[in-house]
Amino acid sequence: MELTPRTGPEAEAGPDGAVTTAPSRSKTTKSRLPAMALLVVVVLVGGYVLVNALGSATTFYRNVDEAVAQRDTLGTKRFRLQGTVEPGTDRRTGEGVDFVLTYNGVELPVQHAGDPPEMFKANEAVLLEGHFAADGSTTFQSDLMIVKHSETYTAEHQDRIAEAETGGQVAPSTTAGTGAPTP
Amino acid sequence: MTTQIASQSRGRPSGAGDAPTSTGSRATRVLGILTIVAIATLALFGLVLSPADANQGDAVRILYVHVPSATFAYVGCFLTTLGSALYLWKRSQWWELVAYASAEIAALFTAVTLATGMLWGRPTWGVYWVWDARLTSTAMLLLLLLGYLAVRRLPAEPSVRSKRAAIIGLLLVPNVVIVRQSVQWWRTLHQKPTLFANGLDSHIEGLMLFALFVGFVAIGLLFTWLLVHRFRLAWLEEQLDEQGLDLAIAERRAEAAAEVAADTGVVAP
Repeated sequence: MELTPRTGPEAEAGPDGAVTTAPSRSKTTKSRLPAMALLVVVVLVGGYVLVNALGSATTFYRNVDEAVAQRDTLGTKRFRLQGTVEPGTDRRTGEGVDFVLTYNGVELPVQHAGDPPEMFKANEAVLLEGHFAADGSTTFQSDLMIVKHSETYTAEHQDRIAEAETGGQVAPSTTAGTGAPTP
Repeated sequence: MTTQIASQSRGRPSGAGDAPTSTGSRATRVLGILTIVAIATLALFGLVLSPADANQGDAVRILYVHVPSATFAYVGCFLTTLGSALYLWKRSQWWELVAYASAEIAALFTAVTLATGMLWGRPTWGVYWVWDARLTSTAMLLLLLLGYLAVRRLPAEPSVRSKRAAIIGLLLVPNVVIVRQSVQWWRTLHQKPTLFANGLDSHIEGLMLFALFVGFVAIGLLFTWLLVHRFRLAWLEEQLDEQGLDLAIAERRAEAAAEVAADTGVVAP
């Protein structure tokens, strides 16, 4: 027995004059193609995202102390570096900004090319993308800066002390590094 | 959302009983009004009454939409996984429709989370997007939800179609756990949770915290309102599908009877 519902001309008027059509079966076969195409696209994009995730999510960045320790193996390879901007060290240059980045008591000089983001300031944690200088020093040359803001929110125009307490929140241990003697 | 399904649902000749003819009801209209009031309150507290952040300035205000959207995307994913599990276990059609409706709303809220996050990232981080663990796992969650919806729409026998979708639905909560914990497990650009950072202590103060609370209420009401309507729509769609099949069978029977009548010579003029 064939149960395929009729379509088109057989459409009948209902009791109130409204035209009723049986759902067409041919629509089903037609809608299969876009759905399959969407599934394929989703799988492909999902695979791409997964590869990206495994490749870069686990070692998303290196802290300053780790990067300095791995100086020789890193060479001039490109990687992401995280640390806190040392107060009073940032100096505008022709092509960007130079400053000292610190983490866990270890410091290194940074030469950044390009305008820093609006939220760039002392004691704020930043992520840099770039490489060590070719001369073998620990100078880091970056061309991408991302400000890593904290999860703490305080109202503007508050007591300065309260602000200072939460300001260096991301890497609290770094502030201790200022007192350490530097070579 | 009061789609007029009425004209279509009258297709069944015998009259389909007391099937609802719209996705709205007195309760959802009240809920809808509450949602609008809550969103207006959120705009007032989020944009006017709460202060700007000490570091971020006005950009912090995106928080009041971004965080609740993410939270209710998680809730939607949880409902989909729960519905999928109950469908696979008890063959509950009702829960299967809850899972389906909820997945669509969860996809919407995940997309809103990503969009508001990107708009927040540009002025604060300096970039719209980075492939850190939080952002990447959230993108994966959106793709998983779209995958669920695509599979649920693939034409197949209803039981096969629902089973395929439910298996994908089971993966949502594990993905949510990864999204939620990503900032603890891996190094990310995205900051750690603000609420309940130390037990009950949250790293957000006064009116900012209250604005965030209003955000949770407003987005929660919106989520509920959308979910109820989407569920009712899915239920009506299923009724229509069943009616379409019944109608086709009835028509074929009538046709066969007419043929038999013609063969036996009892011809109507």
